[in-house]
Order: sequence, then C-alpha cells, then structure tokens
Amino acid sequence: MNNKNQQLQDWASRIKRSDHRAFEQFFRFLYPRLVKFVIRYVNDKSTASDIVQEVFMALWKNRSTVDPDQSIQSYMYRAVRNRSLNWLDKKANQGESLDSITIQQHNDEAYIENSNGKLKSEMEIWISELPERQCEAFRLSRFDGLDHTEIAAVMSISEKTVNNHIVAALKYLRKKYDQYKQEQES
Amino acid sequence: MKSNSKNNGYKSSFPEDESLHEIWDISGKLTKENPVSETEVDAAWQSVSSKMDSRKRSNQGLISDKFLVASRFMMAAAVLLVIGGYLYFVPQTVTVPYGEMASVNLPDGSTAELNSGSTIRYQRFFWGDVRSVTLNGEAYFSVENNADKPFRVESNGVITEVVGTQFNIRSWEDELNRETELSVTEGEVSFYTMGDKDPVRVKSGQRSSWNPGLLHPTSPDSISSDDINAWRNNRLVFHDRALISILNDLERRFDVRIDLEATDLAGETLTAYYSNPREISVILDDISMVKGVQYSQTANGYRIFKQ
Repeated sequence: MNNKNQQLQDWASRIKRSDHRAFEQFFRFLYPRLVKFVIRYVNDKSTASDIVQEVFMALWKNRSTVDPDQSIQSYMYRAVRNRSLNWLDKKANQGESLDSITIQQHNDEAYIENSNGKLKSEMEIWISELPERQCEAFRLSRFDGLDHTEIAAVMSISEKTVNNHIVAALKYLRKKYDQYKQEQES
Repeated sequence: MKSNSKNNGYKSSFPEDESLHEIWDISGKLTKENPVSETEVDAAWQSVSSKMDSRKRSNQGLISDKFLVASRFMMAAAVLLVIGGYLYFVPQTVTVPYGEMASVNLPDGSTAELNSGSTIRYQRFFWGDVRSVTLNGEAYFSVENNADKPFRVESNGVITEVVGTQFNIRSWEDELNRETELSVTEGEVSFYTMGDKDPVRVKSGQRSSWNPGLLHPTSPDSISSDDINAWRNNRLVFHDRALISILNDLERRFDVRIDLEATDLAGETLTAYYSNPREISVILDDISMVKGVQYSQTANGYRIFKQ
C-alpha cells in the first residue's frame, strides 16, 4: 500500500469519526479532480461543480457508513459518475440534444493551454478518439491517478479488463504518435 | 532503488514494454492543467461547509491546514508576480512558490515552464537585438523562431543562445558548484560563457554543463528526452546526484524544510527514479534505507540524522 492510499484511508476513518479537518483536507484534495472528471461527462463546469458538491454533502451526511477498508477515492468517483449519468439521462428525457458521452469528451480541449503547442493538442484529440470505455479507463489511470483496483470499482469491470483497456489505449496513442513524428520529419 | 512500482499502476503491470512507457510519459504532458482554480475550491468549500452541521465546528486550526493542503496537493499554476511597477523599462520577475509549477508566456510568444522555486526575469517588451532572459532555477523553454533576434538565457554566468527551439536549463544559484545544465529536445543551441564567446553547439537529444570552475562548457553527451521531460511530468530523476542537491530539489518540490544533520553524507551520490511521488516520506524512506540514516518530522519539515 502506498502513501497516498494510507492518506486516503486515514481521511476515511477520521471522516467516519466526524473529523471536520480531515473532511476539509479530503475535499481540497479531491474536489478539483472530481470536477475535472465530471466535466468530461456533463460538459459544463457549473453543473459539474454542483454534482461534486452534492456528492461531498452526501458523503458527510452518511459518514457513519464509510468503510475505511474500501477505497474512499473510488467510492467518490463512482458516486459522481453515477450522478453525472443520471443527470445526462434526465437531460435527454427533457428533449435537449444529447449526442453521446464520447462526443462531449472533446470539450476538454478548451482547457488545454498552448504551452507545449501542437503535440499537446494532437494528443488530446487522439485521446478523445479512443473508444468510450478505453478512454474512460485511460483517463482515470493517467490523469486521475487511480490504480487498477480503483478503476475496476468505478467502472464496475474486472481489473483484467481495466488492463486491457489501458494497453489498447496506449497502443492506439503510440500508433498516432509515430504517424505524427513521421509527418513532422517529412 | 527504483520505486516507480509504488506509484504507478500501469507501469508496474507492463514493465517490459518500453514503447508503451514512452507514450504513457508523453501523454502525461496533459496532466498539469486543472480547470478548477484554488479560489474556486475555496468558494466550493465555503459553500459545502456552510451546509454542514455547524454545531461541532471549530474554526481553530482550519487556516493552517488550508494552506498546507492547498499548496501541497495542487500543482495549479499559481504564479507569484512581483512586478516592480508597470513601466516598460522595469524587468518583470516571476517566482514560482515552492510546491508548485508554472508556465509563463513571454512577450514574443515563447513560453517558459518553471519548476518549483524558480525565478525568471525578462523585459515586458523584448527590445534591442536580442530577446534576453535571466534564470535562477530550472525551466523548459519553447522558443518562437526569429532568426533576426536571438533568444538568450543568462544563468550563473553562462549564456544559452538560440534562434527558435526547445530546451531545458537547470541552474540554481544556491547549488554548491553553481552548475548550469543545458539539455536540448529540439533544434540546436549555442552554449557559451560570458568571458569566452566560443560556443559549444548542443543538438537535440544532447546535454552540456558548465560551472565557474571550468574554462568551457563540457562537450555534449546524449540524454533521453524522458529524463529531460521528467520534472514537467511530475517525475523525479536523480542520476548520480549529490544527496544535498537531491534534498534541495525535494524542499522545492514539496515545500518543506529538510535539515541534513548527518553533514558528512552531503556529497554522497544517489541514483533514484520516482514517477509522480505524492508523499515525500516515500523518498525519505528510501534515502534512509540506502544511506543508513534515520529521519523524523520537525515543525516545518524533516531532519535527517545518524543514530
């Protein structure tokens, strides 16, 4: 078990004991990550902020049921993911246009600043081209720092499948990157 | 003492496939940006905590925790701007706080990504024949091409001059030998001392270094782009680095103070590699084990001592 997980476990057991300071530390650690994560689904920052805040409120309300032996991080990712999907369902039922999650994922690009120029934005496009589940597993692993066990819990799939998704994603990105390098050289 | 397996789910699963490791590292360039600013986190926390039960709340101690946690966990590019007035002629100075990293857009469209604790000085407008920048610390430059107006970085008495390219400079004024290390990822760079204008040409994939004890910069040797890009991908890579220099890096990266009481170990070298270490204790554990020392926490950091 690494230190990050120890820290999370420590927060989980302190939150269970109604420790405000632990809850605030945990909030400050995870809130920005979760908002960034939820934006991929709902494509709107203020909706994402609302969803994440609601989930934190719910966590505090139900803190007595927290199990410190389970990853509190994957619990939170799963909770905001479920709420996001519900929100999308509701929105679709209200007749607003909703193409698919995959398409909405493109909009992360708006937040990518142009500091490493072309490769960076190309990379973002390649990632968004990945099949939906591969993309989700890859992002959780690479950008949210979740381990395979946690991703498996968030996405309700086996760790082996998580592995397969991530390797497939990396192979695709590798192919795109090699093509890109060739284009740059020619 | 490789410890990447502790922090990296993917890599520990596929240690054999180097080509996938590389793309994993490259894709990490996207990780630094987070659309949520610290101010927004503050506001969100205020909103959530005001809705929590208010009876048990004690505000005591919240302030210090807030700063501690915010600075340690958020790599958001918070830039401390120290501007000596808005006059065109006064150089602009940007210093990145410990524990954070930042990207600075220069007046000509070039960018400098700054490692924790680094300071860069430049003119608000690049006038004259050169685009002139001063650096104390570590920065990765992506320079816009302009053949008429060379881009020149001065650090610890050595000059790096380019037309348009990408390169990394590490040059701390408080390092013992005041060494400047230049690594190039794209194009070609001229590297020369102030007294001696005979430049060493450093090409893509090469590295050269200079310190005030040398007549010329060293002849270029090769370096992997992985190593050059390490700090910007939140990795720490130490190749035969003096312990004291490693501890300086850790202080800046984690915003802590580290006292090396076992001073006789300061010059001993270590080779270590960490991908995205979140807790300094992981690294201190390794150092303690390898060098036979112990460490303990102090009010503002750690002390390292022999039993």
